[in-house]
Amino acid sequence: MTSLDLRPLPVRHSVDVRLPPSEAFDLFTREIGVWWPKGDRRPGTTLEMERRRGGRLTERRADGTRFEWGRIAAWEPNRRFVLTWTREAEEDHEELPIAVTFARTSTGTCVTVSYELAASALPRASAAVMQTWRGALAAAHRHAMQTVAVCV
Amino acid sequence: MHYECVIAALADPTRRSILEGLRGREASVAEIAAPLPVSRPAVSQHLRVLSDAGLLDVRRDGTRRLYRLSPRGISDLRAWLDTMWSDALQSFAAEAEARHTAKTRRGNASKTKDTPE
Repeated sequence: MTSLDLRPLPVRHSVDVRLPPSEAFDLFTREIGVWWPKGDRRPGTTLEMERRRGGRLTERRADGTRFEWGRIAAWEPNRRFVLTWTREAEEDHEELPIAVTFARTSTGTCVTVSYELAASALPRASAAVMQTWRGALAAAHRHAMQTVAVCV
Repeated sequence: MHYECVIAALADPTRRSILEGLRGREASVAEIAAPLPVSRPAVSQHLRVLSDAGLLDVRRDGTRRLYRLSPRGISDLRAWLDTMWSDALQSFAAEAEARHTAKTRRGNASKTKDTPE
């Protein structure tokens, strides 16, 4: 029996951009709806971030309704923020804190996304992210029910 | 990895409880069902959905069927979350590069305008 690695897994993704930290931070947060991959959300929706501690990252639909993706747990302009990925309307509400840092480099800014993930937290973390991408939880469940029929 | 199946499998809180209960151990249907507030047939159905999604491995031990987390399924989930962030950052970098290029062009244009011939 292959043993399962249950150690927490630090996940880090970095990218270098040729913008100063203040501009990179602004683009990342203020214009997240512009650059976030379109494939991850429904057509006609946009992402908006309330740029302050306690602020929300929400998906706004064409009809004006909003769906929360996460909340800002820490806010240090031009340097760093922490986003907790949430699922509202879930009883076993669980959060996955994700830190995004902006470090000055000789050519611009190094942007790093990092979080720690235990294997045991993977199903919840993945479910949170997947369901967020699917939009409202109800829709996810409806979709899930249809999909189960296809998969089984 | 069939993401649609995995989404469906993870959408249910009972199925997530089953996965968490199986970390680090192998268990039979009866053992899995014991702490759960659902019937055994319902648990069996959940186990089938999880197995079909590639999240559980199952083996026979005499008349019992023993379930455990699939290392493959878990590493697929890790890879999937990784992909999500690397895709998002690539998309961010592309937009940042476009801004940088636009800024440089504007800078050059105003330099040309301001500089007397």
